[in-house]
Amino acid sequence: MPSSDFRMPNSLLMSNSLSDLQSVFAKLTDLQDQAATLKRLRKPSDAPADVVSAMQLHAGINRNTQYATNIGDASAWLGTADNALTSAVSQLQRVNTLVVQAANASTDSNARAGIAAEIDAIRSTMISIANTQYAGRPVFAGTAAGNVAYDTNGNYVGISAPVERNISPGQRVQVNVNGDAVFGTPGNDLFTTLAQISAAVRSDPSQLTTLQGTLNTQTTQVQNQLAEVGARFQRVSAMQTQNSSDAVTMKQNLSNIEDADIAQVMMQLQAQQIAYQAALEATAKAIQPSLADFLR
Amino acid sequence: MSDFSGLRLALTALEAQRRGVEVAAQNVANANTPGYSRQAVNLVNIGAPAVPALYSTYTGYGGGVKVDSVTRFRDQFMEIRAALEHGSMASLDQASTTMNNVQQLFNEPSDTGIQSQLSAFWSAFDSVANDPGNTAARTQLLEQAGTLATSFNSTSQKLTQLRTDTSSELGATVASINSMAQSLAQLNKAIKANTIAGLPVSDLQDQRDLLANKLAEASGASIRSSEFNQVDVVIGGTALVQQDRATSLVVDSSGPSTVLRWSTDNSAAQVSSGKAGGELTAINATIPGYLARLDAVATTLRDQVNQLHGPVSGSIPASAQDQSATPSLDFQLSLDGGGFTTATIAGADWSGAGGAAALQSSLQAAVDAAAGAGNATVTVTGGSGSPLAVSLTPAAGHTLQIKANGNDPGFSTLFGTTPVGSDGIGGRAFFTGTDAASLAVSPDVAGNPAAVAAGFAGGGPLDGSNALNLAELSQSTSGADSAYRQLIVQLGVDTQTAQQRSQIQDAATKNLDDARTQQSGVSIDEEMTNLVQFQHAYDAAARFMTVIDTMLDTLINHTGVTV
Repeated sequence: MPSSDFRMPNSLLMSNSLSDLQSVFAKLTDLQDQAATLKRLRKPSDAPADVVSAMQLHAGINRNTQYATNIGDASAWLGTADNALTSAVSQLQRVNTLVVQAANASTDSNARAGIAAEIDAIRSTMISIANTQYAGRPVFAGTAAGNVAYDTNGNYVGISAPVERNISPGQRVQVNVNGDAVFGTPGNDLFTTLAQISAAVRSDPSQLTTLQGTLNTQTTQVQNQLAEVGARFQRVSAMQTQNSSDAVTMKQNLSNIEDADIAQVMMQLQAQQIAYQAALEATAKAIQPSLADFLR
Repeated sequence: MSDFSGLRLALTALEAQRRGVEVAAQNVANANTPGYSRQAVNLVNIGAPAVPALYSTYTGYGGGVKVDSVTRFRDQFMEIRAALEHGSMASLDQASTTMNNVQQLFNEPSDTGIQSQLSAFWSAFDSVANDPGNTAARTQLLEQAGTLATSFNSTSQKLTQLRTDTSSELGATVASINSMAQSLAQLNKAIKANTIAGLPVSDLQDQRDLLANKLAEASGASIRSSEFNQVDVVIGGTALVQQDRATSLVVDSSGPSTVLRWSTDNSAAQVSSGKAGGELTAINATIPGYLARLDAVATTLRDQVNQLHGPVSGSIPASAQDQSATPSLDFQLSLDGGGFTTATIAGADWSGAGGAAALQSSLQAAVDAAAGAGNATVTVTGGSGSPLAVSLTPAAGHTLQIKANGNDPGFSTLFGTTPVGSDGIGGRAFFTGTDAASLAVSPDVAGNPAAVAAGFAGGGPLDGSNALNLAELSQSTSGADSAYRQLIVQLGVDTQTAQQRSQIQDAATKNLDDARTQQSGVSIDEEMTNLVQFQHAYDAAARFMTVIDTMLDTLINHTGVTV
């Protein structure tokens, strides 16, 4: 009776059937899990390299969202400064016109008093322009803590320092303009010049030519700063576009790596279900009968 | 030849066939018994005497049949191989289970893992930079930092717990190894006694082999055949069971790594396979390895953040190096969180050659006077046309905080690049702790939003540029984020490898087990066939007996009788 023929003892049949069923069922469970979560990657061992790419993209997307917030903030700061400087330039142009008018020999002292009053009014408008705030912070005050960049007398109280925002990996943009860079260093600033012009218009029109020269230089300075703010605003806008397209690209990449292909998973799930049913039926047929059933 | 010998012959046949039926019944009864080996009767015909007696006669035909023995179908060499394969399967299964557990407790990729916590932490620095005067943003940053530190703590603690759990599992495994070894020695003893007495030992051997296999699975031991049907169980060249004597193992976790020792002479047992071997690897290598990697991530985070948050330094541009017009430059120091004391140096011209050395010695003297000698070191380099780089480093084990003395410009002039909180104090570490388990927001900063050093000493009250630098640490290629991702990729690869190796070994072991079952397992069909075969032979032998009976009847009752 001992032979090397292939024997199929009942316990072997059972254990083989069971392990086959188990492996088919394990695949089915995995596919069901994928279909339920719609994620291809659920633990690092699913695909280590892909999981790390996915983590990197998750971190990138989070970071990018923060950059978008920063860019929004930068854009608002620069927009505020841009508006303020634009109106400052138009105010200064009006002063220029008034100075030319005052310097004209035909203008009498009464008319000059009127002009001087208008220049005084423009000076205080200019001070309030210089104190323009964004979100409670004066945009021309640098890193100073107060509510104003210039006090009511036109004295600079800001601390000149760049205020910057992170707008993309390794890139920063300065979002403020320091008051002294726009309106001139203390003692040599626009507000002093405007006060001098107003005094000269009232009492000594002969100084107006010199003062007009100073005013023009200072107006050019404001215009230069306006141009620079505009350039930075452009850069931030470009970054904003870049940022949104980066967000789309990263989300797309993440989805490619992380998400299950629904159609594929459903197909496989269907196929696996059929395979599982077939395996169950085959097992049921195989383990039922033995010779004992057929012997009388 | 006796007239009655035919009856005897029929009787031997009846007995032999009945025995055959009994063995078939025993096989069917044990069809599902683990470790049972099917048995078969070995029948031999009773033939001529091997050495004929003097004057004996022999008619030339046989004397019937007898049951020579009942043998079990089991290949001892296959048992030895099975022990090895089962040992290595148990060890690889354990490795795979350990890796799965480690993988689960890291909980990546997810929205709650350390990776997301890190992202949120860096973003919180940007929020502070965007609005340095806003206490809410600073408070939120501290909350986020606390959550991040807690995540490190709990992951580390879970790893340590996993190691502790595995250690107690190892204790249980070793206890079961010892008790199985005792049982096996007793079975060996019974087998030896029965073998010597010539009694059947198949069923005892089946029990013993099953136990030996379980023992190999638990301990990674190898099996060796010994005399009188016994087996020895050997671990790393030393016998755990030798015939009827068993020794035992003890767990020694007193040293840095856990080892198993022989109870007899306290020498180390070379257990490298089996469940115990797998558990030892988890306790001594796998789990500590991941703890160390996590610690490295935590210390990288601590060092990188502290390096930007805590240093006391200055960079004096060439234009500000001539301070001879300033009578004195003041700043205040606090050693180890004590009260602030004022340090003063006289203003001088440090712009020329030797300026750096002069500034260093006068600063050192001032710091020694304010904070005690030997507690901090001042270094000044550069000068002579280029900026003077000033730094102040506390001695090991000390902390040193620094701030301006009222409105005196000394602090911002000398230590202008020191990051300071909104309260103007610099020199605070952000994180403390030596590993992932102890990582925490430093007590100088925790609960004190004003202590977050968003700006620099020379930068004005709403300076947020240091917070910008801190936020950009998220992009560092040598930072905590990338170190953590490397840890996760390692974790993924290790888990995948462990799973694959375990699957391969499972398949190999199953093949071998199938081969064993094929040889030793009971097939009902086969037993039914045997049953029918023996039944028919029994019927025929009974029929034969009837024939002899009839013949004798003829001879006795009908021969020579006249009617």
